[in-house]
Amino acid sequence: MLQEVVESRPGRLSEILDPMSQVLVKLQKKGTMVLPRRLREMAGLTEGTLMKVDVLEGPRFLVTPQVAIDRDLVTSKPKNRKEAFRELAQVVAELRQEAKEKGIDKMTKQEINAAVAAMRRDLKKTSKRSAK
Amino acid sequence: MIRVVVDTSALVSAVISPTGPNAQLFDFIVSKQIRPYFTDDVLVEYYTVFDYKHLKQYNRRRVARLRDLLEYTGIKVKSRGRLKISSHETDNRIYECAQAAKAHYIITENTKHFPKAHAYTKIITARQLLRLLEAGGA
Repeated sequence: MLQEVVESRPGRLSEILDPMSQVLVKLQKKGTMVLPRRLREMAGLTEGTLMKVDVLEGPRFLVTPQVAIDRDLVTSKPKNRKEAFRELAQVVAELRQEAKEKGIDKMTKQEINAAVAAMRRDLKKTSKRSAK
Repeated sequence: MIRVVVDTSALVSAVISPTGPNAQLFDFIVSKQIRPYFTDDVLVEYYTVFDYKHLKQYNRRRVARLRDLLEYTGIKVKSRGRLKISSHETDNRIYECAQAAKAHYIITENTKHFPKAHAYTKIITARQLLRLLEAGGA
């Protein structure tokens, strides 16, 4: 798999990967895959590390370690309700601006209802599955 | 203070365009004339709908911030049990929220999905509520 990635994107990955960093692994039950210790240590991965999986053309996968951080550090809570309302107005204004830039504001009432209906269908399926 | 449960379709309409009755409704929420209520189920809908159709083009961090701020500025209630009023099962979650909040209104774009009022909760569109507010009858 890694070999394929190298071949598909030679300019970006061939410099990083050497033959020693390639390995063939077997996909197990429920999609579980074990990265050999040698590779984990090489990349400094420990148990619990979040991994982002990008699907490349092929399909091929690019697996990148991630760092999780406390949400409060990124999106701090407003100091008080007054500030929260002010911030709410600001976020809604930003969303409306983004909608205009990306053409989302052209959505018709029917398209909005279709999105809501699709979302509810999926939530219903999920809740049925979890009830079982 | 008017207690409302905002259906997801009305929320989406309010955030995609600065014009229209749903957008105005949101302005009333920001000016604290209307207080939105929600349950966990409703909040999940508010967030998940942005995974669908054109809405998934939105910046996810901004959508998450909207959800957090709504949760912070509105009132979260706990559903008191399952209701079966609408034939659309998932719409019953909105009814349950309205019941728990003792909401005056459910605001929706799909009045057909909410066939009847429940206890003290009326089913209304944003346009109708704005008319009531203007007339001072809400």
